[in-house]
Amino acid sequence: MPKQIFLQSELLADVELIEIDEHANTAALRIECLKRVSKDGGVEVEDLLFYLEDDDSDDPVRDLDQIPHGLRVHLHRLKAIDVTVRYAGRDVHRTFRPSSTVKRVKQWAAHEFAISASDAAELMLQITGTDVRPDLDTHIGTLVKSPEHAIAFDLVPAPRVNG
Amino acid sequence: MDARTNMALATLEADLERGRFRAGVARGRWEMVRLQWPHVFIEITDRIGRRICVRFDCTGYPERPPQGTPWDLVAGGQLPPSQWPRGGRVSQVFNPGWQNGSALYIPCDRVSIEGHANWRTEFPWLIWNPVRGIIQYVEALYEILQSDELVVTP
Repeated sequence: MPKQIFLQSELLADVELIEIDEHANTAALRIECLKRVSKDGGVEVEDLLFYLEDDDSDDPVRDLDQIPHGLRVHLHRLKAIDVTVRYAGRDVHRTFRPSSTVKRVKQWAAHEFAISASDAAELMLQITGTDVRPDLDTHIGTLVKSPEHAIAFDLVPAPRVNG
Repeated sequence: MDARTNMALATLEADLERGRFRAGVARGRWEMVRLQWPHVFIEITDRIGRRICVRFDCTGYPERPPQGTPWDLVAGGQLPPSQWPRGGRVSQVFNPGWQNGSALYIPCDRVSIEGHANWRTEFPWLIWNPVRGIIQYVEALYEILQSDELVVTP
């Protein structure tokens, strides 16, 4: 039974579903992922780094003994993205791997601002200067295309549709 | 089915196979349980793990937004109002008093957007986008159902 792999990248418009043989190794996984991304704009395959979702290791795929079903991976040219989150007149900053989810960034920001989990459930991250509120499963690397290397969010109230 | 309907159904089926939708299924966030054109029935998981089935009427898909209503799959009808998700901002969207419960009160709903021109500026990210397709509506409902205001007692 083939394994499902979910790929995100700065070079993809959306999440890609990849199905690989259940016995495939990490080298085969890497090849399949590289086939899916656009090489337009002079992107070299050698420049793309391979990450696992919300994993900060340098080469986490290399360290996998086997490929789990439902693995979430990311291809990006950057090693880190500078993230700023603004809330109530304050900014907090740190760097994240491109494979970090919006959910993880939000959890970190809520902690930094001392917001309880229940209050955080009524807040969302919105990309500063836009009306874009990415889904929690979105990898921040999909929002930042190299050579850009930073992104800012506002932590804003979830919508109340009442009029 | 005419050619236009065939195209609408094919587009919906393709959208349900897209990576973003399937990634949500793999994570247990939602699941398509039945497709019976023009309706697709999708269960969406709330913050305590209950699955709320929503019937989306996809007539005119993807140019026209779907119309959603909570559904009882066993009884084959609209979910009784007493069983609708409720509490705070959840009740604003899941409002059985709106259009007799035939539509959810959210900007990406076909019925509810009518007469709400203000929503286009107040909630631009929730205005129906045919390119994103059904996942836009499903992700929006999932987000709402994670609210801490959701009442979890029977």
